[in-house]
This record gives sequence, structure tokens and C-alpha cells, in this order.
Amino acid sequence: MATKTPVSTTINGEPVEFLCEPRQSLLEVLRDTLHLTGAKEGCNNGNCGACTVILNGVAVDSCLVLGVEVEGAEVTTVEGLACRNELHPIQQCFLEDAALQCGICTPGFLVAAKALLDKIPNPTEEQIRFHLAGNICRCTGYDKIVKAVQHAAQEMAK
Amino acid sequence: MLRVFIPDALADHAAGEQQVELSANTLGDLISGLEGMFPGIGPRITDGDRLVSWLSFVINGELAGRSFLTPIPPNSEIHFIPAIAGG
Amino acid sequence: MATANETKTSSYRVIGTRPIRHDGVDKVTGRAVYGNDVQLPGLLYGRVLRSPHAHARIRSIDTTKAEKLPGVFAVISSADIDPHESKMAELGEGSVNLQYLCENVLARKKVLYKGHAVAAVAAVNAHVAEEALKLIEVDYDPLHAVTWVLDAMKDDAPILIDDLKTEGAPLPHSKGPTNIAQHIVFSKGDIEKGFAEADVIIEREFKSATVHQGYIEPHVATALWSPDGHLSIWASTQGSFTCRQQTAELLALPVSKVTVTPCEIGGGFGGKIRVYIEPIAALLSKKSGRPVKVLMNRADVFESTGPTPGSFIRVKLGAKRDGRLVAGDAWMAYDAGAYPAGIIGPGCVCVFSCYDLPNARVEGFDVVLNKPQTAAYRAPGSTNAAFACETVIEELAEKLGIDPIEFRLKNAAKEGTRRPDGPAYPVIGLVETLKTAKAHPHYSATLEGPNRGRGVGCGFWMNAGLKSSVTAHVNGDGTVTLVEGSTDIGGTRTSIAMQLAETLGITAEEVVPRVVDTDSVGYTDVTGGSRTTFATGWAAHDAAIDIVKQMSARAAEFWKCSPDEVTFDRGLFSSKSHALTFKELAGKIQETGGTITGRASVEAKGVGATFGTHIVDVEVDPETGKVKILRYTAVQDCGRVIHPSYAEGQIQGGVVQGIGWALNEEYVYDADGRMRNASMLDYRMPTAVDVPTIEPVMVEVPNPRHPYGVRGVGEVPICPPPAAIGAAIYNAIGIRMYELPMSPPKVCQAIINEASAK
Repeated sequence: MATKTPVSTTINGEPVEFLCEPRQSLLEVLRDTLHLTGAKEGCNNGNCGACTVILNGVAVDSCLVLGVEVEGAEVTTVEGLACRNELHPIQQCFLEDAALQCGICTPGFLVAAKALLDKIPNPTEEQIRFHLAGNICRCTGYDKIVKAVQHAAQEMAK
Repeated sequence: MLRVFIPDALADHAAGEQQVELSANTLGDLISGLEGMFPGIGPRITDGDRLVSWLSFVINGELAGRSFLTPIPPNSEIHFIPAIAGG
Repeated sequence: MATANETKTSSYRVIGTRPIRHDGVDKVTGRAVYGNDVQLPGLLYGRVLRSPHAHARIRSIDTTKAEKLPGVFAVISSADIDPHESKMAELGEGSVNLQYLCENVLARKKVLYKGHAVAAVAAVNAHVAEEALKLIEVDYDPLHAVTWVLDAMKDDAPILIDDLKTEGAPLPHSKGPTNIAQHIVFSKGDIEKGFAEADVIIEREFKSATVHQGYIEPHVATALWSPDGHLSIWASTQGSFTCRQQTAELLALPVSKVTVTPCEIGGGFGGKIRVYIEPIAALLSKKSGRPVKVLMNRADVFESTGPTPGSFIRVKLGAKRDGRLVAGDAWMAYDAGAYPAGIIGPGCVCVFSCYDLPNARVEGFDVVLNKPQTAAYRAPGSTNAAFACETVIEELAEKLGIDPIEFRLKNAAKEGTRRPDGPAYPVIGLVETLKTAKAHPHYSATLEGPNRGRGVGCGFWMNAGLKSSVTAHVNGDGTVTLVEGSTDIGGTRTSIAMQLAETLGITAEEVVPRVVDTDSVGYTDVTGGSRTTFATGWAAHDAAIDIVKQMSARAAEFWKCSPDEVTFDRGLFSSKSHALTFKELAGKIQETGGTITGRASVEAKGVGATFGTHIVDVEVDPETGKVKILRYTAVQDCGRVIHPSYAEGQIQGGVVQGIGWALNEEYVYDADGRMRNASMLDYRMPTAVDVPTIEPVMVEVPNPRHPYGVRGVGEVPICPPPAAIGAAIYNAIGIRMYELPMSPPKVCQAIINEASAK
């Protein structure tokens, strides 16, 4: 079996150390080693976006990042969006606007939406759709997701 | 009295009849009754103590069970339609 | 977005409102436990070896090397599961042949499609399991494969199942082995006479490619076979009880020895009813003595689960000059996939279901070929059929010079209309959807610009009733815990809880819904057939009535009167000068005899069918053949809407799946029968940039036979899009498309063909 490498990183604002094999993806480390199962495996090849996390400020598919690559990095997962027991406005708006059905793609959309709003606080509908095009949702037809992100942008501007 | 529509798939067993009337309280009774009228039709649509899986049993427009015990209300309209797979 | 009739529900306090779903916070914080999130001490990871051939005999399987790999705990093949005879097991909605199910779970003598499971490994982690798969030596004898339905029906076609017999109507010329698993014929009136009366007759042929449900969560199952012989399964399934039954039957266990816990599920759409990996996980657990989680990868999902049938359909319709349809004839051949599947049945029932045809004949074939065994997908069989029928309807309307909605209104099915398969409709809402669509501003809006067009289309789904059970416990604080067995795929915890709350006069938030395992609630059929809000909601209503009856008796004890003298209205128990709210009385029940539990098990009758009428504007790029959706309005009879947001969501989601089916999605096969696009990049499902806002317009024609007027909502919205988009393309560029998907290469080719024909 392959030998393991120690990795020091920051996840959701907290310092984290873990051991991982060179072939393990960040998604696998998050889910199986660190038990942060909010990031979902939908395709494991970067096509669906269900495993989206923010890596040093950029939304990435964690299935396409190796665990060893996050040495010294800052990672935000869906578990890091809420502040203690207070939901992030994007989470709250997804709930209020019924922007999820089965919910499996939801963590990826929430994280991708946060990355977008961090960069563009008041995006147009076209910008939202473009930035979320790497995340596939098979249930909602996207409309309620787009509206929830618009709603969250308004809430965050208050 | 039940009004029973004979499906086209069984037309060769039913001497061309498209509708018959008979009395029955359960699906099992009904199939026995049909067999009495049209010998050979029973085995065609029976799998053990059930209706064959390729037909659905419909009472008054409503899907019902395939078991011979399935009750039939009086004066119902009976159809056998192609089995439904669900989503 | 307001529903068309939202104000009419004002007599209700809970129904028609939009509470936040009960499982919402878990799902936006990443805490909800989906199938792949299950962790157990000592968990092993299972992977499945799949056939690289579309059709081959298995000469031998040698697992010796794989078993010796360090970290491998168990290897299984079909030798580890006893064969089953051809016997049907009922699954509520549909049934399953155990012999075929068993062979589909692990191939025995032959593989019948690329991706067919052959062997499986449990190892310390997924990487070791995948390495071990490469060490399994399978000796195949490849055979010719067939993947087009009409080819598979030919006399000289490769035969998949040697002893297959055609069920249903006799085939006049059948002799020897066949791939035709089922032959359906039904008719109404006299079609020869009908066509003889017609002034206009149009007959067309249609092809549809195989498409997949495309749920984002791959199939996953975790099994623990305990030394006491009890099998526990944590599954991503639409129906825990049907999962239990199939697994128990395959492994020759009594159902009481199997507990299935339904995890949160990442989409199903009909594709997560049949078992694939649950028995494999169980056998690996039995062999290793450890819990085992089997997860499919995305290629596995495409190549070995649930696609819905590709099809060939010929539809002929005749009409009088005044626009009355007089006759219809349909000939339909659907893929069964590797084993008989029966999606053709509902396909045949649905093809003419929107219209009042005095004379009609429908003939259908379920055809075995070298693709994965097909499964239900949102109104299974209906979308292929609607594309064919509705396109011919459009052509007739054009030829007769009648507005397409007006033409449909002249012929629309209504209460009492007999479908060609026989049954007469109860109260239905097709006419209401057509009238609402015609009056909608979208239908009369100006559409300017080159290569732009508008189309309409209708769709039908019959919906299902079936069995549901709930129990409801009254808590001392006036809340009610609602225990149910219906997998919640799109907010049904809440739509069911709302019906309980409405009946008890409490708020949706005062209900605590819990979806529990198969040992903790009575038998409940699958979440499918648009039945859950209808049937499990009905059970919740009945359990609430049970609670009211018991609480009235308690109130009568307090008030020293007869229970008959206690009335209950909107959460208030009263008798003469006495009154107690539900909450007040709930606080006293422990002192007056203890807990009150309401129960109900229903076999729901009175199913209400659903219809939709859609309007779409498109723009076609004549250079590339790409079709852009500019505007989309989906009118649907939803019956009484319980939670408008989630009903709208069903419509919007179904339409976008229909758009994908219409414009892009297809299984691409090579000459050897191998799927060449088994990834989400190459199997192109719609993304947020591919679609505009889908405007849902909910018409409410309550189902008179349900306590709250509920019909199913979820399935019918996928049916109209391909036909409506096809009509819009015609109105944009003057070319009719007869093949799905209407993808850029096909539209481009059609434009080139049209130009060269001129």
C-alpha cells in the first residue's frame, strides 16, 4: 500500500492536519478521513459540481484536487458556511425560496454561490447562471436556485 | 352484474366478444367465470393464484391488485389493461 | 410566483402555504445523511467488475489473484448467489421477475450489455477494491450485439435470452426464439371506418434515443450481515419496503430478517426502485463478516442502471374538416433493455390519452436488446409517445388551418371520455389547462426575429395510489410526531405533514415528520407514480382523524359528556360551554390514560390523472443547429396544491428534464453496442445557462375523491417538452423533426437535407 504524507491545512477557519496517500482526492480526504461529508460525490471527474469547495478563494471541484495539494491552503466547505448556529444568508434563502428538492447538489451550489457573491456582490441573472453552470441540478430546473442567489445577494447587501 | 371488457389480446379466446356480463365478488371468481364462458382464457391470464404480470386489473377505472382475493364491488366496470411500470 | 388559483385555498390554514421544509436545515448545512454518508465501524468498500462487452458468453471467472491482494476481504460472483426460477414478485407499482433480477444483479452465463455486473470485491478502501477488480480474470466469448429496437425484432437478430416467450397478444408469425418480450394490442371502435370518414390523414414515424434519469447521486448501499442472520441495509432507494422485498427474495431470506433504512436520496425519478447493488453489498458483508458499502461510479450509473427506453413509433391520425378527430392508429416498439421491462405498457396507454378518439388502435412491443434493462423515468413511456402523437396533432392542425390549442380543445379528453385501452376518465383538467394556456399572455405575445418560433404540446400521466402507512404520536407540548415510510425526494415530509396539520388545526411546524426504517412503520410503497403527497398524505389525514376521535373521547371524560357531544373544528375541541385547543388538550392526555397515537394504513383509491399544456419559444441557429429556449410556460392541472413552492419545483424540474431529452440527451452507441458517452460531460444534461426561467402556471381542478383534492404533480411535466419544442422549431425554420434528441447535428442535418431537396 502507498505510504502516507502528512498535510497541514486550514479548513473552515480551523487548523487541520491529516495523513493521506498521494492518490487520494481532497473529496475523499474530506469525506472519509475528516468526516466532512457535506461535499458530495456525484461523478468523481469534475463534471457535476456536487463536491464544490472554496480553495484559496476559488470554487473548485474537490474531486479534482489531490489531498496533498492543500498543504498550507485555506479550504471552505459547506460545513463552514453557517456561523455557529446562524445560517449564512445563502443557506437561509435556499430554504425560504425552496431552492432544493433532493438536496444532493445543494452543498455544491451553496459553496459555488458563496464564491460568486464574495467576488461579485450584486450579480446579474446571467452572471449567476454562468457561474453556476459547473453545478448540475437534476431536480429544480435551476429557476429557484437562481432566485435564491439573487435574494441572498440582496440580504447580504443590507 | 359486472361489465367486463375483454382485451384484444384475448380476442381469440373469447369468440370475438368484446364485452360480457357476469357476477363475481373477487378477481378469482371473475377469472373462473370467464373460463366458464370461454374455456382456455383462464390459464392465459393466470400465474398461480394471481393475474399474469403483463396485465393490470382495473375496477371502475382504478388499478386494483392482481391477487385472486382482490374484492370487486357489485356493478363494477372491469378492464384488463397493459401493466404499468412506475416512476 | 403566485399560483393561478392560490386565493381559492384560503379556507385552508396550512394547505396552500409555503412553510420551510422540515429537513431543510440538515440539507443546507451538509448534515443530512445520504446513502454515501453512512459510516459504520470496520466499514469495507465494495466495487463491482462490469462487462466490457455488450453481449458475450462467460466461459470462466477466476478470482484467485484478487482474493490474494492485501486489503481484500471478500470477492463474489454469481457462484455466490443461488439461481432463481422465473417467478414474479409484486413491487406495488409493477412487478419483477426474480430470475432476471438475479441475473441482472450478477451475470450468470452471459453478459447482456456493457456494464453488466460480473463480480464484486470488498476491500479496506476503494482504491484497493479497484486494484482487485483488475486482478479478476474473466474469459468471455463475445457475441453479436443489437442496440436498435427494430433490428432486435428481426428474424435474424442476435437472441439475448434463449427461452424468452412473448407475453400478451399472440404474434401471428412467431416461431422459434425471439427478443419480443411482450406484445400489446388494444382498440376502440372501428379504425377502418374511422379513417374512411376522415378528410385529412397524417401518418409519421418517430425515433427517440435512450436517455437516463440522471440523478446526481450514484447508487450506493451499505449492508451489515450480522452473525445472527439479520441483514441490515442502508440504501438510497425510492422504496425501502420494495428494496427489502427484492433483497430478501434474491437472498432467500424472510422479509423479517432484512431491515432497510432509507437514507436521504439524491434523486431517483423512477431509477432507484429496482435493486442493483444491495444484494451485492449483503453478500460481500456475509463473506467478509464486516459492513460493506458499495458505491457506483458515474459510468456504472449510465451503463448499468435505469435508462428509459429508446423507441420507434408510428402514429396515424385522421380528422374531419371541422377539426374533429375520427381515428388514430399507433404502432410502438420500445427498448426493454437486457431483460423484459414493460415501459411499453404505459407508453401504449398514454399515446392517445389526451384525446377523445372514437376509433383507435394501439399495438406495442417490449423488445429485449443489448442495453441496460430499462427502468421507469418520470411518467415512464409517456414522453416518447407524446412526442409522436402531439407532433401529428400539430401537423393536422396546420393542415386544417385551425389554431393548435383550439384544435386540441375540440378533441380534448374530459370526464367520461374512454381511453383506447378502455377505462373512462373521472374528473380531469385537460380542458382547463388548454384554456388557461390560450389565455396566457405568453400565447399571444409577439415573437419577432428570424429563426424564432413558438410551439405548444400536451401531456398526460395516470398517477398511482398504492399503499402507505403512518403513525402519529401526540406530544404533551401540542406537537405531533409523524412516522412515515415514504422516501422524501422533493419535500414530501412537509407536504404530508401539512395535510396532518390541516386536519388537526395545528401548524406545519408543529408536526415533526420522520422517515423511518422498515421495522418502524407499516408497509409503504415506493415514492413514485406521483403518489406520495396523494397517498401518504391521505394516510396522514386518516391518522389525524383517528387522533381527533381519541382526543374527543378524552375531552368528553373531562367534561363528563358523551364523545358524540364533543365537536372539533380547526384545532378547537368544544362541547357546550367547554372548549380546549388541541395544544391544551394534548397537555392533559398523559393524566387521562396516556399517549394518543393515530394510525392509518391506506390502499389509496381515487387516483386523479394529470394533464399539462406547455408553450415554448425557441430560436434556432441555422449555422450550428443549436436550439435556444427563449421562453417557457408550463400550465398544469395540479389538483389541490399542498405546498405551492414544491409543486412549482416539480413542474420546473420536469420541464428541464424534458428539454434535455428534447435537445441533447442520448446514449451514443458504437457498432459493437458499447455506450461511448458514459460521463456527465458527454451525456449532456441541461445546466443553468441552457434554460431560462420556466414559468409554472398551476391550474387547480381538485380531485374529488381525495380528502384534500390532491392529484399527483411530479411526472407529467416531462411529457410535453419534446413535442412543444419540435413544434416551435418547425415554426422557426419550417422543418419538422421526427427524431429525439433534436440536437445540433441532427437539426443541422435536417436543414442541409431540406436545402438540397429544394
